[in-house]
Amino acid sequence: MSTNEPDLSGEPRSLIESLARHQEGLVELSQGHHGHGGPIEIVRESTYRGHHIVVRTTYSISVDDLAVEGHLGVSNDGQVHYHAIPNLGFPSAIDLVKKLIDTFPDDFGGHGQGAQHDEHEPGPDGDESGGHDDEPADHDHGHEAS
Amino acid sequence: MAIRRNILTSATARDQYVEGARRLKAEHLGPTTSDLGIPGTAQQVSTWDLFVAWHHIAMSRFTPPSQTDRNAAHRGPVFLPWHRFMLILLELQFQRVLEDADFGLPYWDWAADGERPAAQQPSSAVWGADAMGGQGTPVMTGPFAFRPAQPDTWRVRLDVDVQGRLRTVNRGLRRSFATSAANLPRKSDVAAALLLTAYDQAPWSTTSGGFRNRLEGWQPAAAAPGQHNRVHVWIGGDMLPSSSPNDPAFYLNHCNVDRIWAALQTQPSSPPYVPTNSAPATLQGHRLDDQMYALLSNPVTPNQMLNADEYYSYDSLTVS
Repeated sequence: MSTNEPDLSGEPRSLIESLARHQEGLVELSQGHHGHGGPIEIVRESTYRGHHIVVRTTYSISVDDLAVEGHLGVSNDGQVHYHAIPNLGFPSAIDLVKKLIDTFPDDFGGHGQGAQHDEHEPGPDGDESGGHDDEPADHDHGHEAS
Repeated sequence: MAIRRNILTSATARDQYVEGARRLKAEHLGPTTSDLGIPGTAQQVSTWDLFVAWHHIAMSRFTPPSQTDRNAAHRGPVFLPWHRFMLILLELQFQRVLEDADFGLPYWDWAADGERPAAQQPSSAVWGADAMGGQGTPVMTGPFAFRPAQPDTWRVRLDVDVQGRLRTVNRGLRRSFATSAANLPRKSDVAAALLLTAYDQAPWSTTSGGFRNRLEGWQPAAAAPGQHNRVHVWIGGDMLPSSSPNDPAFYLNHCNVDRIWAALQTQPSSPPYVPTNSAPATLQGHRLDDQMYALLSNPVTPNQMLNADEYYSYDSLTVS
């Protein structure tokens, strides 16, 4: 390595002890920043010709009766992104939520009312059922069909 | 020393990777879901799944917290060194469970497959039954297929819900090729990135110019998702959420991303890593000697990841 060498190890003890040292704030990080039931406020800042620009945007998103309140962001070029699907940006929040419905079928409970008349394009074979071949989740806190 | 090889030309690397992944998935060293801040009854977490959690948690740390673009591992300068850090640490785990100190993670040269017609890309050998298996909800072919009756079948045990919360699940791996992106990146995309004269640029985000943002896949915006992002999106399924290391294909993608960065670093006029240590505190976590977010080891700095020769090399740096 170019400067001081990193202290990295593949030994189990190293991994376990490191995890134990990094407990601070872990609940908030693993469980997201939002989920408080309120709207999501986005703050964008920029500087132009010496002037400080602050733009605050508030989003309140729901699908059927389920509030979508995970971490949403807007970059300064207007692209909307969402923490749970980190490799995509969207020109609008509507497009983003459509992708959330496709990506998290377990959370939205499959087709909504009037699905045969909406804009949704079918996915590939077996991709619309929300994992019907899978076993039930053994968790007790995920959002189920609303 | 480990040599990282092309998974499509080294059957040994491919088979070792599959075997090592299965061993890490079956290994439980003691940490539980409670240790990761996941509510509910505590369950053992496999070594493989600890890396799933680390990726998600790093992505949840915004740097700085006052903005919503850059995080501790993505959407900013640290994207490449942080994932090099992650790959080295995982590679060390593979070496341990395989009892092979020279094992190197294989890479998938996705740009080579990207040269094929889009309709043929799902037929690449990387998705064969002797490699990663194919697509499906759940995947039903290859070593990571979901066969519920088999106790050692590949099970996704941690993922994120639509609110971005890490949770426990019990299901098969999901992939949906070409549903959200029609084709893989091409060699010309990689070649264009290697021509850029800056590693990264202000505002150090998804709107930046420079090599990092091009390779990560946010620019050019009209063609996004590009390169790294496009591979995630093209594979789809479990490669879309922040729990994407659930899919063994995750590391094949990132190993190739790292190889492309390594190729840039060998160029005579390779642009240096930026931002330097003199950058403002708003870039903390991304500056040259800042500590990167670690969960499963001591922290390292981007500077310490600029030269990984001590850990591994690639069989080829021909990337475009």
